[in-house]
Amino acid sequence: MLIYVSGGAGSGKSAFAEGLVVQSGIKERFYIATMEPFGEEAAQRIARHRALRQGKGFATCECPRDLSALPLQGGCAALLEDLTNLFANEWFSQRPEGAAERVLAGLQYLKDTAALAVVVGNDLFSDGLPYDGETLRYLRALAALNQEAAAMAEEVYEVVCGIPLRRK
Amino acid sequence: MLTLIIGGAGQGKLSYALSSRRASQGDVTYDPACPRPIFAGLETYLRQTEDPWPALEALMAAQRDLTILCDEVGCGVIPMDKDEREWRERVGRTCCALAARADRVVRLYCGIPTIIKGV
Repeated sequence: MLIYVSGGAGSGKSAFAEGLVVQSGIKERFYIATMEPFGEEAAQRIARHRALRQGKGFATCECPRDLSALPLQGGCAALLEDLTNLFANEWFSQRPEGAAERVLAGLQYLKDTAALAVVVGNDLFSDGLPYDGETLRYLRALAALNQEAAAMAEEVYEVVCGIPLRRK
Repeated sequence: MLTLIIGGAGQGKLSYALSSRRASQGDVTYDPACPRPIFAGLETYLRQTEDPWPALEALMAAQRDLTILCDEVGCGVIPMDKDEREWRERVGRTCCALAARADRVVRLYCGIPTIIKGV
């Protein structure tokens, strides 16, 4: 079972995604963290998410890239946070070629291994600003990846002001 | 009764607030320190303050039937500027907290209202 959860910045999507895992009742819960702790803001963001997860029974696995190689227990619940970071790490710190395929293979592995996989994505396509070649190329690839993730998912939610809107 | 109306810029939030409440421009405030039944532009107000809650609490206490309007601003690429990032996050978090307390949350899209909380 794969659930894709998306929303804008500060929309409450993480809290909702965590709730899905907790409510599943599955005891083995893994939080797959994708952010590399570079800089003070990243550290603050990570600290905020850690506090949010506190007491919810998650074991944290660091996985900035190569999701398919992550050792994961069969039948667990896994929360991947988030697809945008994982893809950016694959794209910018490895190479753009094949980045989407590597991430998609990872999602398939997650879906096949975990009893419940919740994948958090981001909506970053509605600011109407013009972007240059490389950024535009990355954004288009990310948007396509989000669509693939939603296509693989059994359920899709858009979270708005903490309110989940079921889209699939 | 607390109503939160959200949506992108120019989606018809104010028109909807005015028509659904049978209100006029005179009922609209852009500053929570001047309480009126409709508070528009929460996102702009959040540029001036890091902690909007004292003013919002006072506004909610003064207006028992209050409608708050806020632009959705979180659906773009992460801004390069730190202050912009913090503002965007603040708008999102403030809306989450208001939505949790609101009796009704309405999202406007191309002038079309969708009630996403309450009736």
